[in-house]
Amino acid sequence: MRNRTARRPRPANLSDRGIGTLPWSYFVVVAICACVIAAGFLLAARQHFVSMDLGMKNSKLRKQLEDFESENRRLTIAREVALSPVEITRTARSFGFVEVGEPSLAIPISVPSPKDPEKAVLVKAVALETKAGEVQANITRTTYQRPSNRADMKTDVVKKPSAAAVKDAPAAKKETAKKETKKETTKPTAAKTKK
Amino acid sequence: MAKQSKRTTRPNPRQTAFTRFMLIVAVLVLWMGGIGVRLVNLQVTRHEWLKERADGQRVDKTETKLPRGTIFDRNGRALAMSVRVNMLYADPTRIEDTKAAAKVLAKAIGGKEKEIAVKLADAKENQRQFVPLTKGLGEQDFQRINQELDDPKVKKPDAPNFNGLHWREGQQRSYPYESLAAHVIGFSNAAGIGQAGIEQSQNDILFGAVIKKRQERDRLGRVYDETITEKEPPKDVELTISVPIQFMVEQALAKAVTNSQARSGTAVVIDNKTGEILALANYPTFDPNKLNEISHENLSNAAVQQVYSPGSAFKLVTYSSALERKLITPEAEIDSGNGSIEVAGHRFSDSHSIGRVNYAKAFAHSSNVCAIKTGMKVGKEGFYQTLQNFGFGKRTGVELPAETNGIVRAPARWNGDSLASMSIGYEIGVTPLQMATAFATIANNGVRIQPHIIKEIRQSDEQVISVAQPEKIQVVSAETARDMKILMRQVVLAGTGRRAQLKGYSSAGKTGTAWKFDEKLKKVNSAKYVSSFIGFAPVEDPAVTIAVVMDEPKVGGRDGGQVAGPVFREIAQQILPELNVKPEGYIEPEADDEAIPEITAANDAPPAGIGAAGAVAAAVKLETVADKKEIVKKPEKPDIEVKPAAVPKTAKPKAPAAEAKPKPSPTKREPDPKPKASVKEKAPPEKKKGKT
Repeated sequence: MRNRTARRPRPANLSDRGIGTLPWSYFVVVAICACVIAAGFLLAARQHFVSMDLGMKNSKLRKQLEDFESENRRLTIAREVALSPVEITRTARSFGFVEVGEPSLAIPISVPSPKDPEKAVLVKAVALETKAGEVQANITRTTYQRPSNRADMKTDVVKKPSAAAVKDAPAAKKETAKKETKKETTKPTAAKTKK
Repeated sequence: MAKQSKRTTRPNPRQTAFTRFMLIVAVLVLWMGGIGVRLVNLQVTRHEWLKERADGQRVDKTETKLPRGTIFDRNGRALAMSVRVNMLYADPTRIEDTKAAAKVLAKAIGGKEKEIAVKLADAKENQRQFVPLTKGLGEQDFQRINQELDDPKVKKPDAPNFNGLHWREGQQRSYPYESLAAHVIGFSNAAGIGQAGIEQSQNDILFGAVIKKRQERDRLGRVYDETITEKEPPKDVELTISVPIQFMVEQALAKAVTNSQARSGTAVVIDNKTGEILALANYPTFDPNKLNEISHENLSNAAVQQVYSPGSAFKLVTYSSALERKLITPEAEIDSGNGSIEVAGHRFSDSHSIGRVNYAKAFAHSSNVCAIKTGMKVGKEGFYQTLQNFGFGKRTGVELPAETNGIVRAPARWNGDSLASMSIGYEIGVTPLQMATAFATIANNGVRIQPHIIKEIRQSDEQVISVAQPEKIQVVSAETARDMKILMRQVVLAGTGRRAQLKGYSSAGKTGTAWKFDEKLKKVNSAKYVSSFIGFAPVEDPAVTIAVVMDEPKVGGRDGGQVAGPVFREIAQQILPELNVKPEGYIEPEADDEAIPEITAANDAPPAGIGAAGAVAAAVKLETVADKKEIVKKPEKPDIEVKPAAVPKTAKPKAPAAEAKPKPSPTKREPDPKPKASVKEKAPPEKKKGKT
């Protein structure tokens, strides 16, 4: 077997082979360009993320500003409500103050019914007029009745006797009968002794 | 040969390389072409769809409304203000388990679990994407509910972190002073549009514009870019109303209306020097915070929207007109005769005769006869001219909605007795504000300053963009105004308005008592009055003019001096120190509380039925000449002679006012076919007609 392909001797050095070597400056320029481009990309990316970050901060601040303005408005209204003559009068009345010459106030109160807590029983209060300059106790008369005292309310509690109690019932009856007879016998003697 | 054939079958390496190369190129071209076609398809054909989808993923578009402008009083106290509130709503199509969601929701927002579950399930079935759950929540509730609804498994850009639940921003109008100055401020509806008062008249200024927000979000839902469509923010309105003064006025008015069991009451306080309305109150009133509870009857701002017959208070115009034309002086005398006068077949009478008195006393005692005679002296044209100069028959221009002109007819449409009727405040319809302005004109030395209720309009950054500049007109001379002050002072000192005397300050004014026209009866109802007192204080340098008008008082007197006078006193006594008006020293009231009733008594009231909306009362005390021919005598020295031409030959029914329907005469009124003279003084009556 003969290798027909002619093998030419290859010189080891590139310059000997006819290929010119690249100058170092070329690589430096390429490197610099690459760095510049990379730096540009990095800067652009940084700018982008900074911009996004600022946008987020801006948005948050804007929201915060809106919240503060809203809160400011709410507080302004709360202040105005607190300072309003109507509210001051209301608060004063809640503390028991009355205007000069004004009859003392008795506020109708709704009291939960003990029988049925969901139902409220209105306590009718009668205001007593006070003369100007005269201090008078604030007495209220009510028409409120305790449900247990009302005619239509059953107050007696009936309990079912237990099975044991039913079994022992004849014995218990006998015992009570004995006790009663004892009492009857002792009473006249006591009366006699007194005499 | 074999060698040759071998050589011929051997492939050309260059050709092979070229073929392979071309194959690769073709694949690449096809691949690139496919990509290109796909790109064209996506970017051209399906551009819109893709854009929407992309925007939907990262862009939020919201429409929010700027808070409506604030209404302040003159001291910078907020009378009406909008606050931001939140509404929680559900999109049930995105909720998998509505029952579980209802359970969590019931706990967070309160309410019954079953009801919420049914609501959500129903909406899901019908593919409804908006189910409001709770409204009007403040910031605290907003935060609390967000915490309670937070689901760690869910990743959602907006709060609350719960699938299918969203917040919507809104605003709520608050009136912190409740019913205070409710008729002035008015109210706005749920859409933020003014419905009454300043809210309505200044809606364009107060209206909060809708702004569009475009927010771009990253994959975590954080907003990194925001675009807001800039709109002009709403402006704030500062009123001339003062909260403390308004409160005092409302308290006094409410007490008076309650005590007198009147149908309603109106009070107006004007700063004479500036024309600013310091207080404007009506009772009964309403609370604009509770729109559901507002009664339709209480909505009307009677101070500018309702007309009434002023009665004797209108004698201000009659006497001013005569004084301006130098026809009378306060010291000059006038004979009231027997307390009755007949004009064009109609008799006007006082409750009792005051005889021959000077004009000051005639004015103080509110004599109808003297006023009619004075009006006749002035004449139709002169009277009408003065009336117009005072601003009657046209709007004052105050910045409140639905202000009425009042009712004033042109002289061409007057009847024979119209001048007489108008001289004593009938056949004319005025508003309390018009009357207050007329009195303020006298108090301000004859210069009429247009009343106004808006002090300034400013931007949210406090920059003032508009300031009220009221019109000023010299209506009567300063000399006439001074004389009128003398007359009005006499009313308070020794006339019908004694109950308007103040401690520490001098006051002047005029009472008015007019019978009302009854719509049902179609005539004047002698049981219904409009009682008023309008005055100012202090007399030397008047700071404020106060008008008090009480509609149909039933208890404790009916005269303006008795009903409205004390209200004037109470208001003036409280607000003058508030306005830093120095007391003039202690002035002992010259009379006790027993005020002199108007001698015109119930009969401030003469003829004419022009009334619009039942406001203008018609005559009282009318007697036809035909009925009383025997007692009609021509006086020896008549004060006034009126040309017969001025009187219609046949008495015709009264012509209605411009916008009024004709009303029948309140009393029997037979036409007088041939009246000899339009003005006659009556001989002493055999029996007194009319109330005393």
